[in-house]
Amino acid sequence: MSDPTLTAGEFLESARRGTLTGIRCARCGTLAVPPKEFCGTCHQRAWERVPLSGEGRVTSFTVIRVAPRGHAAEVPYAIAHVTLTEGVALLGRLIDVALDRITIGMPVHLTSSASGRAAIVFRPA
Amino acid sequence: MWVLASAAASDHMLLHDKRDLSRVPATERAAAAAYRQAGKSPADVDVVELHDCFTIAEIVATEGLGLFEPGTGGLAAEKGWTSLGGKVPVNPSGGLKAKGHPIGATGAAQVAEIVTQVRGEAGPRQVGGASTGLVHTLGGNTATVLVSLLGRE
Repeated sequence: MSDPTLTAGEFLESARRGTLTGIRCARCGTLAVPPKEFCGTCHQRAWERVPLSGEGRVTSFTVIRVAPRGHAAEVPYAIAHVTLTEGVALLGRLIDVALDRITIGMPVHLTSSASGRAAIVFRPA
Repeated sequence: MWVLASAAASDHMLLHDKRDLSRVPATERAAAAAYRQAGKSPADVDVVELHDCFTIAEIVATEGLGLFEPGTGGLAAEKGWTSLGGKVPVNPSGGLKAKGHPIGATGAAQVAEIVTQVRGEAGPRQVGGASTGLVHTLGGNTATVLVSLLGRE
């Protein structure tokens, strides 16, 4: 892949700043986030960059109490599966909400990652 | 001992690309293909070794394999329908969580257990009269699923 439309590094750097960028298949319109090489729907490689709102709703979530190496000091913390208003979904850290107050369907939006430990961070809208 | 069927199916790798968090389409497709190859249905399965890498994985798998209706996999485990002596015993070996899920060896151990069961050599964990067994194994976060049916006839 010589000239990627959007690299994983660019995607994560943008997400850390609180801006979500995805890619859309120019052939069939499928949205993908984070970026990937081939369209899972039509198997083409004709991506174009698209700005995403970063707004969505919690589809599901879990609370991490036993963390992978490097995140042990942050437990407990929540990971949410968020379906964005554009229809694609993304996993991210959910902050600024008590862990027992998180609900499925709750509106959230992407926020900048101040701590730097997690690149994709959501907070209640 | 016959390999009655062996079928693979694939799906999106990333969790957030899955269309429905409560289903594994690759399991459903691989199972449908395996039943078709063998000319059998879920009702013909006497014993199952499935990929219960997490507690919820067994529930989603028993539904996806057609052993129980969608939404009733949890009830099936709770009621003992998947226990020895139940409607369709699942993981008499103890399953992945009980054996520490040694990646790679896991699938081979599942086949070994079903062969042992169908031969009637499983001792205290023997499923009575087992003549057809199913092996369900997966990799890559349910992106790849393989379903095999083994039997005496």
